Amino acid sequence: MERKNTYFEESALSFLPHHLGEAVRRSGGLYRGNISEIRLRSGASLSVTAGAKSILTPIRCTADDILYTVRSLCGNSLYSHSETIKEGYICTDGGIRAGVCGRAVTEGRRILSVTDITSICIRIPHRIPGASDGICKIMQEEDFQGLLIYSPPGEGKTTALREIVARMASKPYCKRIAVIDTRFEICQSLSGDLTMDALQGYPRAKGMEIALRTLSPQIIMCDEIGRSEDSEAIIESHGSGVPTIATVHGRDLTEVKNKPYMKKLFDAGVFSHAVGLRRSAEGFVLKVNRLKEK
Amino acid sequence: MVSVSSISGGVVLVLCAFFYGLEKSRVETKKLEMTEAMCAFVEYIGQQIETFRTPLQRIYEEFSDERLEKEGFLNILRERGLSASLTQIKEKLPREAFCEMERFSNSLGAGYEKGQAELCSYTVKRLEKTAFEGRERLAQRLRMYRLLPVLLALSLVILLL
Repeated sequence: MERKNTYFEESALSFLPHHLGEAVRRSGGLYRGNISEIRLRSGASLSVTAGAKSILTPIRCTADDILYTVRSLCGNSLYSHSETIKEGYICTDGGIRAGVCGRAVTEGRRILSVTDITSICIRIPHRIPGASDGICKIMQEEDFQGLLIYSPPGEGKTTALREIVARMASKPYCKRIAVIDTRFEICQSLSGDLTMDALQGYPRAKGMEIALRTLSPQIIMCDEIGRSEDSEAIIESHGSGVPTIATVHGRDLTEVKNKPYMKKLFDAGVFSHAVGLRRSAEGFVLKVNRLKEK
Repeated sequence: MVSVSSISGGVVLVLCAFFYGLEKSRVETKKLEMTEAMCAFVEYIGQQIETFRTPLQRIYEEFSDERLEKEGFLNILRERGLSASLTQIKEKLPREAFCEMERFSNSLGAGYEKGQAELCSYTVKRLEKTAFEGRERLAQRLRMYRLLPVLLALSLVILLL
Protein backbone atom coordinates (compact mmCIF):
# COMPACT_ATOMS: atom_id res chain seq x y z
CA MET A 1 0.00 0.00 0.00
CA GLU A 2 1.21 3.48 -0.78
CA ARG A 3 2.33 5.27 2.33
CA LYS A 4 0.93 8.74 2.99
CA ASN A 5 3.60 11.04 1.74
CA THR A 6 2.86 14.26 3.59
CA TYR A 7 6.48 14.84 4.67
CA PHE A 8 7.75 15.25 1.12
CA GLU A 9 4.60 17.14 0.14
CA GLU A 10 5.06 19.67 2.92
CA SER A 11 8.68 19.97 1.96
CA ALA A 12 7.67 20.64 -1.67
CA LEU A 13 5.06 23.20 -0.63
CA SER A 14 7.65 25.09 1.36
CA PHE A 15 9.32 26.08 -1.93
CA LEU A 16 6.19 27.83 -3.21
CA PRO A 17 5.07 31.37 -2.41
CA HIS A 18 2.68 31.29 0.55
CA HIS A 19 -0.53 31.89 -1.48
CA LEU A 20 0.30 29.07 -3.91
CA GLY A 21 1.11 26.68 -1.08
CA GLU A 22 -2.26 27.48 0.49
CA ALA A 23 -4.03 26.95 -2.86
CA VAL A 24 -2.51 23.46 -3.12
CA ARG A 25 -3.48 22.68 0.49
CA ARG A 26 -7.08 23.71 -0.25
CA SER A 27 -7.53 22.20 -3.72
CA GLY A 28 -5.46 19.09 -3.24
CA GLY A 29 -6.70 18.48 0.30
CA LEU A 30 -8.54 15.29 -0.63
CA TYR A 31 -5.45 13.85 -2.22
CA ARG A 32 -2.96 14.71 0.51
CA GLY A 33 -0.36 12.05 0.83
CA ASN A 34 -0.71 11.01 -2.80
CA ILE A 35 0.30 14.16 -4.63
CA SER A 36 3.03 13.29 -7.10
CA GLU A 37 3.51 16.58 -8.96
CA ILE A 38 2.91 20.28 -8.53
CA ARG A 39 3.01 22.23 -11.78
CA LEU A 40 3.47 25.96 -12.19
CA ARG A 41 3.20 27.64 -15.57
CA SER A 42 3.56 31.36 -15.99
CA GLY A 43 0.14 32.92 -16.74
CA ALA A 44 -1.73 29.63 -16.23
CA SER A 45 -3.43 27.92 -13.31
CA LEU A 46 -1.39 26.05 -10.76
CA SER A 47 -2.09 22.34 -11.07
CA VAL A 48 -1.54 19.29 -8.93
CA THR A 49 -1.20 15.67 -10.05
CA ALA A 50 -2.43 12.98 -7.71
CA GLY A 51 -2.43 9.45 -9.09
CA ALA A 52 -3.55 9.85 -12.68
CA LYS A 53 -5.69 12.92 -11.91
CA SER A 54 -4.73 16.50 -12.71
CA ILE A 55 -6.39 19.01 -10.42
CA LEU A 56 -6.47 22.67 -11.48
CA THR A 57 -6.43 25.20 -8.67
CA PRO A 58 -8.17 28.57 -9.14
CA ILE A 59 -4.86 30.44 -8.66
CA ARG A 60 -2.91 31.71 -11.65
CA CYS A 61 0.87 31.70 -11.48
CA THR A 62 2.70 34.88 -12.33
CA ALA A 63 6.26 35.31 -13.56
CA ASP A 64 7.17 36.51 -10.05
CA ASP A 65 5.76 33.30 -8.53
CA ILE A 66 7.93 31.26 -10.90
CA LEU A 67 11.00 33.34 -10.08
CA TYR A 68 10.38 33.01 -6.35
CA THR A 69 9.95 29.24 -6.64
CA VAL A 70 13.07 28.79 -8.75
CA ARG A 71 15.14 30.83 -6.30
CA SER A 72 13.81 28.94 -3.35
CA LEU A 73 14.34 25.54 -5.02
CA CYS A 74 17.94 26.61 -5.61
CA GLY A 75 18.39 27.68 -1.98
CA ASN A 76 18.74 31.25 -3.28
CA SER A 77 21.85 30.14 -5.20
CA LEU A 78 20.78 29.84 -8.83
CA TYR A 79 24.41 29.66 -9.96
CA SER A 80 25.02 26.46 -8.01
CA HIS A 81 22.33 24.72 -10.10
CA SER A 82 23.25 26.19 -13.50
CA GLU A 83 24.46 22.87 -14.93
CA THR A 84 21.32 20.94 -13.98
CA ILE A 85 19.06 23.81 -15.11
CA LYS A 86 20.67 23.45 -18.54
CA GLU A 87 19.71 19.76 -18.37
CA GLY A 88 16.17 20.79 -17.43
CA TYR A 89 15.94 20.16 -13.72
CA ILE A 90 16.77 21.38 -10.23
CA CYS A 91 17.45 19.02 -7.34
CA THR A 92 17.00 20.21 -3.80
CA ASP A 93 18.96 19.00 -0.79
CA GLY A 94 15.85 17.28 0.54
CA GLY A 95 15.59 14.93 -2.45
CA ILE A 96 12.87 16.81 -4.31
CA ARG A 97 13.39 17.26 -8.02
CA ALA A 98 11.80 19.92 -10.20
CA GLY A 99 11.75 19.97 -13.98
CA VAL A 100 12.20 23.47 -15.40
CA CYS A 101 12.03 25.01 -18.82
CA GLY A 102 12.25 28.49 -20.26
CA ARG A 103 14.28 30.23 -22.95
CA ALA A 104 17.53 28.50 -23.86
CA VAL A 105 20.54 30.56 -24.85
CA THR A 106 22.46 28.36 -27.28
CA GLU A 107 25.71 28.27 -29.18
CA GLY A 108 25.43 25.75 -31.95
CA ARG A 109 23.80 22.73 -30.32
CA ARG A 110 25.14 23.55 -26.88
CA ILE A 111 22.89 25.19 -24.28
CA LEU A 112 24.82 27.99 -22.59
CA SER A 113 22.14 28.90 -20.10
CA VAL A 114 18.39 28.93 -19.55
CA THR A 115 16.69 32.22 -18.82
CA ASP A 116 13.10 33.36 -18.28
CA ILE A 117 11.91 30.11 -16.75
CA THR A 118 8.19 29.75 -17.48
CA SER A 119 7.31 26.24 -16.28
CA ILE A 120 8.19 24.25 -13.20
CA CYS A 121 7.11 20.71 -12.44
CA ILE A 122 7.93 19.77 -8.85
CA ARG A 123 8.06 15.98 -8.56
CA ILE A 124 7.49 14.61 -5.11
CA PRO A 125 9.45 11.43 -4.33
CA HIS A 126 7.49 8.54 -2.92
CA ARG A 127 8.42 5.66 -0.72
CA ILE A 128 6.24 2.61 -1.15
CA PRO A 129 7.55 0.07 1.36
CA GLY A 130 6.99 -3.44 0.10
CA ALA A 131 6.59 -2.33 -3.48
CA SER A 132 9.84 -3.96 -4.48
CA ASP A 133 8.99 -7.39 -3.02
CA GLY A 134 8.37 -8.98 -6.42
CA ILE A 135 11.58 -7.59 -7.89
CA CYS A 136 13.67 -8.52 -4.86
CA LYS A 137 12.43 -12.11 -5.21
CA ILE A 138 13.69 -12.16 -8.79
CA MET A 139 17.06 -10.84 -7.63
CA GLN A 140 17.50 -13.79 -5.32
CA GLU A 141 16.98 -16.35 -8.06
CA GLU A 142 20.08 -18.36 -8.84
CA ASP A 143 20.20 -17.43 -12.49
CA PHE A 144 19.78 -13.69 -11.85
CA GLN A 145 22.25 -11.79 -14.06
CA GLY A 146 20.71 -8.36 -14.44
CA LEU A 147 17.34 -6.69 -14.53
CA LEU A 148 15.73 -4.15 -16.78
CA ILE A 149 12.69 -2.23 -15.56
CA TYR A 150 10.58 -0.54 -18.22
CA SER A 151 7.43 1.56 -18.19
CA PRO A 152 6.12 4.81 -19.63
CA PRO A 153 7.16 7.98 -17.73
CA GLY A 154 5.49 8.52 -14.36
CA GLU A 155 4.71 4.86 -13.61
CA GLY A 156 7.24 4.64 -10.79
CA LYS A 157 10.51 3.27 -12.17
CA THR A 158 12.59 5.54 -9.96
CA THR A 159 10.40 4.77 -6.96
CA ALA A 160 10.91 1.07 -7.61
CA LEU A 161 14.69 1.52 -7.78
CA ARG A 162 14.62 3.44 -4.51
CA GLU A 163 12.67 0.65 -2.83
CA ILE A 164 15.03 -2.01 -4.19
CA VAL A 165 18.02 -0.15 -2.74
CA ALA A 166 16.26 0.40 0.59
CA ARG A 167 15.48 -3.33 0.80
CA MET A 168 18.54 -5.01 -0.68
CA ALA A 169 21.12 -2.69 0.90
CA SER A 170 19.77 -3.26 4.39
CA LYS A 171 19.62 -6.22 6.73
CA PRO A 172 19.38 -9.14 6.17
CA TYR A 173 20.54 -8.86 2.53
CA CYS A 174 23.22 -6.15 2.89
CA LYS A 175 24.18 -6.25 -0.79
CA ARG A 176 26.90 -3.81 -1.82
CA ILE A 177 24.98 -1.67 -4.28
CA ALA A 178 26.58 1.12 -6.28
CA VAL A 179 23.88 3.55 -7.33
CA ILE A 180 24.69 5.81 -10.27
CA ASP A 181 22.31 8.61 -9.35
CA THR A 182 22.93 10.94 -12.28
CA ARG A 183 19.98 13.21 -11.53
CA PHE A 184 20.01 13.05 -7.73
CA GLU A 185 16.64 11.29 -7.70
CA ILE A 186 17.31 8.00 -6.03
CA CYS A 187 19.56 8.42 -3.03
CA GLN A 188 18.68 11.76 -1.50
CA SER A 189 15.47 10.57 0.07
CA LEU A 190 17.05 7.36 1.37
CA SER A 191 18.44 7.20 4.85
CA GLY A 192 19.45 4.64 7.42
CA ASP A 193 22.12 2.01 7.69
CA LEU A 194 22.50 1.00 4.05
CA THR A 195 25.32 -0.81 2.25
CA MET A 196 24.89 1.56 -0.67
CA ASP A 197 27.49 3.71 -2.41
CA ALA A 198 25.87 6.72 -4.07
CA LEU A 199 27.59 8.22 -7.11
CA GLN A 200 25.51 11.35 -7.36
CA GLY A 201 25.68 13.61 -10.37
CA TYR A 202 28.09 11.31 -12.25
CA PRO A 203 27.34 10.67 -15.92
CA ARG A 204 26.04 7.10 -16.04
CA ALA A 205 28.89 5.58 -18.06
CA LYS A 206 31.60 7.31 -16.03
CA GLY A 207 29.87 6.46 -12.75
CA MET A 208 29.67 2.78 -13.69
CA GLU A 209 33.34 2.75 -14.67
CA ILE A 210 34.35 4.29 -11.33
CA ALA A 211 32.07 1.98 -9.35
CA LEU A 212 33.51 -1.10 -11.06
CA ARG A 213 37.08 0.02 -10.63
CA THR A 214 36.98 1.27 -7.07
CA LEU A 215 33.93 0.12 -5.13
CA SER A 216 33.73 -3.64 -5.87
CA PRO A 217 29.93 -3.62 -5.92
CA GLN A 218 27.73 -6.72 -6.00
CA ILE A 219 25.09 -4.84 -7.97
CA ILE A 220 25.21 -1.65 -10.04
CA MET A 221 22.06 0.34 -10.38
CA CYS A 222 21.23 3.21 -12.73
CA ASP A 223 18.14 5.07 -13.85
CA GLU A 224 16.93 5.85 -17.37
CA ILE A 225 19.43 4.49 -19.85
CA GLY A 226 19.31 6.74 -22.89
CA ARG A 227 22.65 6.67 -24.72
CA SER A 228 24.78 4.11 -26.40
CA GLU A 229 27.72 4.87 -24.08
CA ASP A 230 25.47 3.84 -21.17
CA SER A 231 24.86 0.53 -22.92
CA GLU A 232 28.59 0.00 -23.42
CA ALA A 233 29.26 0.65 -19.73
CA ILE A 234 26.56 -1.86 -18.75
CA ILE A 235 28.06 -4.46 -21.09
CA GLU A 236 31.45 -3.89 -19.47
CA SER A 237 29.98 -4.27 -16.01
CA HIS A 238 28.26 -7.50 -17.11
CA GLY A 239 31.59 -8.71 -18.44
CA SER A 240 33.11 -8.11 -15.01
CA GLY A 241 30.45 -10.29 -13.42
CA VAL A 242 28.52 -7.48 -11.76
CA PRO A 243 24.81 -7.53 -12.59
CA THR A 244 23.12 -4.25 -13.45
CA ILE A 245 19.65 -3.09 -12.57
CA ALA A 246 18.58 -0.35 -14.94
CA THR A 247 15.43 1.40 -16.05
CA VAL A 248 14.30 2.61 -19.44
CA HIS A 249 11.25 4.35 -20.87
CA GLY A 250 8.99 2.10 -22.92
CA ARG A 251 5.43 0.86 -23.11
CA ASP A 252 6.31 -2.77 -23.80
CA LEU A 253 9.31 -5.01 -24.29
CA THR A 254 9.10 -4.89 -28.08
CA GLU A 255 9.31 -1.10 -28.05
CA VAL A 256 12.25 -1.25 -25.64
CA LYS A 257 14.09 -3.83 -27.74
CA ASN A 258 13.74 -1.66 -30.82
CA LYS A 259 15.67 1.26 -29.32
CA PRO A 260 19.09 1.20 -31.00
CA TYR A 261 21.08 1.56 -27.76
CA MET A 262 19.01 -1.19 -26.10
CA LYS A 263 19.49 -3.64 -28.95
CA LYS A 264 23.18 -3.95 -28.04
CA LEU A 265 22.27 -4.85 -24.47
CA PHE A 266 19.80 -7.54 -25.46
CA ASP A 267 22.29 -8.95 -27.97
CA ALA A 268 24.97 -9.10 -25.29
CA GLY A 269 22.53 -10.83 -22.94
CA VAL A 270 23.22 -8.57 -19.98
CA PHE A 271 19.75 -8.91 -18.48
CA SER A 272 18.28 -12.16 -17.30
CA HIS A 273 14.93 -10.51 -16.57
CA ALA A 274 12.91 -7.58 -17.85
CA VAL A 275 10.06 -6.25 -15.75
CA GLY A 276 7.24 -4.06 -17.04
CA LEU A 277 5.91 -1.75 -14.35
CA ARG A 278 2.47 -0.28 -13.89
CA ARG A 279 1.30 1.73 -10.92
CA SER A 280 -1.96 0.75 -9.28
CA ALA A 281 -3.79 1.72 -6.13
CA GLU A 282 -2.20 -1.26 -4.33
CA GLY A 283 1.35 -0.47 -5.38
CA PHE A 284 3.00 -1.87 -8.51
CA VAL A 285 1.77 -4.42 -11.01
CA LEU A 286 4.73 -6.30 -12.50
CA LYS A 287 4.94 -8.06 -15.82
CA VAL A 288 7.98 -10.31 -15.55
CA ASN A 289 9.74 -11.44 -18.73
CA ARG A 290 12.45 -14.05 -18.36
CA LEU A 291 15.02 -13.30 -21.03
CA LYS A 292 17.24 -16.33 -20.44
CA GLU A 293 16.02 -19.86 -20.08
CA LYS A 294 16.92 -21.68 -16.86
CA MET B 1 36.49 85.51 42.01
CA VAL B 2 36.14 82.14 40.30
CA SER B 3 34.65 79.58 42.63
CA VAL B 4 35.94 76.03 42.98
CA SER B 5 32.59 74.69 41.78
CA SER B 6 32.82 76.76 38.58
CA ILE B 7 36.29 75.40 37.92
CA SER B 8 35.15 71.83 38.56
CA GLY B 9 32.16 72.40 36.25
CA GLY B 10 34.49 73.69 33.57
CA VAL B 11 36.81 70.71 33.97
CA VAL B 12 33.85 68.29 33.73
CA LEU B 13 32.64 70.04 30.58
CA VAL B 14 36.06 69.85 28.94
CA LEU B 15 36.43 66.18 29.93
CA CYS B 16 32.98 65.36 28.53
CA ALA B 17 33.88 67.09 25.27
CA PHE B 18 37.16 65.16 25.16
CA PHE B 19 35.46 61.79 25.66
CA TYR B 20 32.73 62.71 23.18
CA GLY B 21 35.47 63.39 20.63
CA LEU B 22 37.13 60.07 21.46
CA GLU B 23 33.86 58.18 21.05
CA LYS B 24 33.19 59.83 17.68
CA SER B 25 36.71 58.86 16.54
CA ARG B 26 36.12 55.27 17.67
CA VAL B 27 32.82 55.11 15.75
CA GLU B 28 34.45 56.46 12.58
CA THR B 29 37.36 54.02 12.83
CA LYS B 30 34.93 51.18 13.40
CA LYS B 31 32.90 52.13 10.31
CA LEU B 32 36.04 51.96 8.23
CA GLU B 33 36.95 48.56 9.69
CA MET B 34 33.45 47.27 8.98
CA THR B 35 33.67 48.46 5.37
CA GLU B 36 36.95 46.58 5.02
CA ALA B 37 35.40 43.48 6.61
CA MET B 38 32.46 43.67 4.18
CA CYS B 39 34.92 43.95 1.33
CA ALA B 40 36.65 40.74 2.43
CA PHE B 41 33.27 39.04 2.87
CA VAL B 42 32.08 39.90 -0.65
CA GLU B 43 35.44 38.91 -2.10
CA TYR B 44 35.15 35.51 -0.38
CA ILE B 45 31.63 35.01 -1.76
CA GLY B 46 32.91 35.83 -5.26
CA GLN B 47 35.77 33.33 -5.00
CA GLN B 48 33.49 30.59 -3.72
CA ILE B 49 30.96 31.17 -6.49
CA GLU B 50 33.53 31.36 -9.24
CA THR B 51 35.63 28.40 -8.12
CA PHE B 52 33.24 25.98 -6.47
CA ARG B 53 29.70 27.29 -7.13
CA THR B 54 29.15 26.83 -3.41
CA PRO B 55 25.55 27.53 -2.36
CA LEU B 56 25.15 30.72 -0.33
CA GLN B 57 24.08 29.02 2.87
CA ARG B 58 27.27 26.97 2.91
CA ILE B 59 29.36 30.07 2.14
CA TYR B 60 27.72 31.84 5.09
CA GLU B 61 28.45 28.90 7.35
CA GLU B 62 32.08 28.63 6.31
CA PHE B 63 33.00 32.32 6.35
CA SER B 64 34.58 33.66 9.50
CA ASP B 65 35.70 37.14 10.52
CA GLU B 66 36.28 38.25 14.07
CA ARG B 67 34.93 41.77 13.56
CA LEU B 68 31.71 40.59 11.91
CA GLU B 69 31.30 37.81 14.45
CA LYS B 70 31.56 40.32 17.32
CA GLU B 71 28.86 42.53 15.82
CA GLY B 72 26.44 39.58 15.59
CA PHE B 73 26.40 39.92 11.80
CA LEU B 74 27.48 36.34 11.07
CA ASN B 75 24.96 34.74 13.44
CA ILE B 76 22.03 36.51 11.82
CA LEU B 77 23.51 35.89 8.37
CA ARG B 78 23.52 32.14 8.97
CA GLU B 79 20.04 32.10 10.43
CA ARG B 80 18.14 34.67 8.38
CA GLY B 81 20.23 35.60 5.36
CA LEU B 82 22.09 38.65 4.15
CA SER B 83 19.29 41.24 4.11
CA ALA B 84 18.42 40.66 7.77
CA SER B 85 22.06 40.69 8.87
CA LEU B 86 22.68 43.97 7.05
CA THR B 87 19.86 45.61 8.97
CA GLN B 88 21.65 44.56 12.15
CA ILE B 89 24.76 46.56 11.27
CA LYS B 90 23.12 49.44 9.39
CA GLU B 91 24.42 52.03 11.88
CA LYS B 92 27.89 50.55 11.88
CA LEU B 93 28.55 51.00 8.17
CA PRO B 94 29.03 54.24 6.23
CA ARG B 95 25.84 55.12 4.34
CA GLU B 96 27.41 54.51 0.90
CA ALA B 97 28.75 51.11 1.93
CA PHE B 98 25.37 50.10 3.37
CA CYS B 99 23.55 51.11 0.16
CA GLU B 100 26.09 49.16 -1.88
CA MET B 101 25.63 46.07 0.28
CA GLU B 102 21.86 46.40 0.08
CA ARG B 103 22.00 46.46 -3.73
CA PHE B 104 24.36 43.49 -3.62
CA SER B 105 22.07 41.46 -1.37
CA ASN B 106 19.09 42.07 -3.67
CA SER B 107 20.89 40.54 -6.65
CA LEU B 108 22.93 37.87 -4.88
CA GLY B 109 21.86 34.33 -5.73
CA ALA B 110 19.56 35.41 -8.54
CA GLY B 111 21.87 34.75 -11.47
CA TYR B 112 24.34 32.34 -12.99
CA GLU B 113 27.97 32.11 -11.88
CA LYS B 114 29.51 34.51 -14.39
CA GLY B 115 27.06 37.28 -13.60
CA GLN B 116 27.32 36.62 -9.87
CA ALA B 117 31.12 36.68 -9.94
CA GLU B 118 30.96 40.00 -11.80
CA LEU B 119 28.47 41.33 -9.27
CA CYS B 120 30.88 40.41 -6.47
CA SER B 121 33.92 41.98 -8.09
CA TYR B 122 31.93 45.15 -8.90
CA THR B 123 30.75 45.38 -5.29
CA VAL B 124 34.27 44.78 -3.98
CA LYS B 125 35.56 47.65 -6.14
CA ARG B 126 32.83 49.98 -4.89
CA LEU B 127 33.49 49.03 -1.26
CA GLU B 128 37.24 49.44 -1.72
CA LYS B 129 36.62 52.91 -3.12
CA THR B 130 34.43 53.76 -0.12
CA ALA B 131 37.08 52.38 2.24
CA PHE B 132 39.87 54.29 0.48
CA GLU B 133 37.97 57.57 0.66
CA GLY B 134 37.07 56.80 4.25
CA ARG B 135 40.73 56.22 5.15
CA GLU B 136 41.72 59.50 3.53
CA ARG B 137 39.08 61.38 5.48
CA LEU B 138 39.70 59.52 8.70
CA ALA B 139 43.04 61.13 9.70
CA GLN B 140 41.56 64.57 9.17
CA ARG B 141 38.38 63.69 11.03
CA LEU B 142 40.16 62.07 13.94
CA ARG B 143 42.14 65.28 14.52
CA MET B 144 38.92 67.26 14.31
CA TYR B 145 36.98 64.98 16.67
CA ARG B 146 39.77 65.06 19.24
CA LEU B 147 40.42 68.79 19.12
CA LEU B 148 37.19 70.54 18.16
CA PRO B 149 34.94 69.48 21.05
CA VAL B 150 37.69 70.24 23.57
CA LEU B 151 38.34 73.66 22.03
CA LEU B 152 34.63 74.45 21.96
CA ALA B 153 34.24 73.37 25.56
CA LEU B 154 37.23 75.45 26.60
CA SER B 155 35.86 78.53 24.81
CA LEU B 156 32.52 78.01 26.50
CA VAL B 157 34.18 77.68 29.91
CA ILE B 158 36.21 80.86 29.37
CA LEU B 159 33.10 82.74 28.25
CA LEU B 160 31.08 81.56 31.22
CA LEU B 161 33.73 82.19 33.86
